[in-house]
Amino acid sequence: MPDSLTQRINALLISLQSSNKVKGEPTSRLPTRQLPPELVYNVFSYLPRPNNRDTTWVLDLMSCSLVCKIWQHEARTFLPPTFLHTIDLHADEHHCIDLFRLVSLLTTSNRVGLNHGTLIQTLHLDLTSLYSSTGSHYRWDRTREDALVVLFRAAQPNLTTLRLRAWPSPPGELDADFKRLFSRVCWLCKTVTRLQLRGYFVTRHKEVWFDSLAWFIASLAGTVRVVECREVKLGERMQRAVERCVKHGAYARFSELSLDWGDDGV
Amino acid sequence: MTTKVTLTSSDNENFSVNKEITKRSILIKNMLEDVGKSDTPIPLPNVNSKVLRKVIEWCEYHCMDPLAPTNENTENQKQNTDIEDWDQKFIEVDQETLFKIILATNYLNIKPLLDIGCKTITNMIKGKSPEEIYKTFNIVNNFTPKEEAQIRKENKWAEDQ
Repeated sequence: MPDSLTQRINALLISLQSSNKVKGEPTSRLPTRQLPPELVYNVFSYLPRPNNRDTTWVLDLMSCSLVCKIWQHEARTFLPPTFLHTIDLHADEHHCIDLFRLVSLLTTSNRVGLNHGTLIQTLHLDLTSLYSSTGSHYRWDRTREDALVVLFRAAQPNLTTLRLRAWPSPPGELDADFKRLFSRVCWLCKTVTRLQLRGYFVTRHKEVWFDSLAWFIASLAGTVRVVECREVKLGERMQRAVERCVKHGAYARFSELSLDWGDDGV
Repeated sequence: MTTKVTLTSSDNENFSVNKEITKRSILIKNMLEDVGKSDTPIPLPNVNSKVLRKVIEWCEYHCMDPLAPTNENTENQKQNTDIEDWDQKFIEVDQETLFKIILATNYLNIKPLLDIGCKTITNMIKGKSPEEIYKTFNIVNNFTPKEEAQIRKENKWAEDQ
């Protein structure tokens, strides 16, 4: 082989190596600690599996799936296909998914183009999780409200079922906060076809608070196909809101009350 | 009288080790069975002397342990990320060494030590965000728009449910 040709080949090889180097190297000068896929799989196999409602495992795996392509592929073999279909946001922190971590992961997922939020189909929201109380004083959690709005936004394309629950009934003094929340999320619920209401304790003096909820339910008229009310008593405005949904083609289903509502129920 | 075997690391350092101890490695055990009686050093081109010294230290400490059955990691074992005290102290090394130990034990096929290494990584990723994981392990996020589209396509298994 002539010398000039050898030189050209060497020059090409060097340039190829250097271009690959730039592409493959991490931004810092530290060596990449990447494991081969079979060992990444082994690492994931040690993540503690969920028991009952423990969702830490799912969030850990979801986090791993957003690291790089190898991790994404291996994490997928562990994640059940329905891992984000239903999101439970209970008032009990020990049993509900970590909303802030979930929202942070959904944001990262959206940034890298994976859009895990589109997997969410059902959202169970306990409205009492949005505030805390000390004695007779109630404190609205605005950070949680903001996180919830991000969750609705991420879930927007495929969210079909929304279950709202409140037990015990939220206080009337938070009416303005609920109004703001509902007005922020109502336009993100245009794919919701099934609305489930659970455990509302409606009294005359709390009708004010339910005004905002009634407005929200009415805003879903034309979109929602089924309204299911279980263990719930509806106030006048709430009834009108459900009727509006029915007028726009929804089917309303009421199950028997199994709770003792006392004398002050509407 | 115990028989010794010589192991040669990738940087050409020789280690004279009790033959029974080297059998913690399924790779070496199989090699010894295949070769029969021989004084020829066993080259380990994928393991440097620093890591090999650590691996031998672990094998010496655990030489009396019953040999773990291969590929029989029960669900209960998998659920347990606890590491015994001695092993915990043993694995308290810098991250680069930890990764090299994991790769070496995978190559040497020493399952119990491999599991300790993997459990350590598992404990490091629990509760972390993807960003924290990149930083911890210096991994490059290699999702690119084109490839993301492909992954989304592959993710259809989840969307179709």
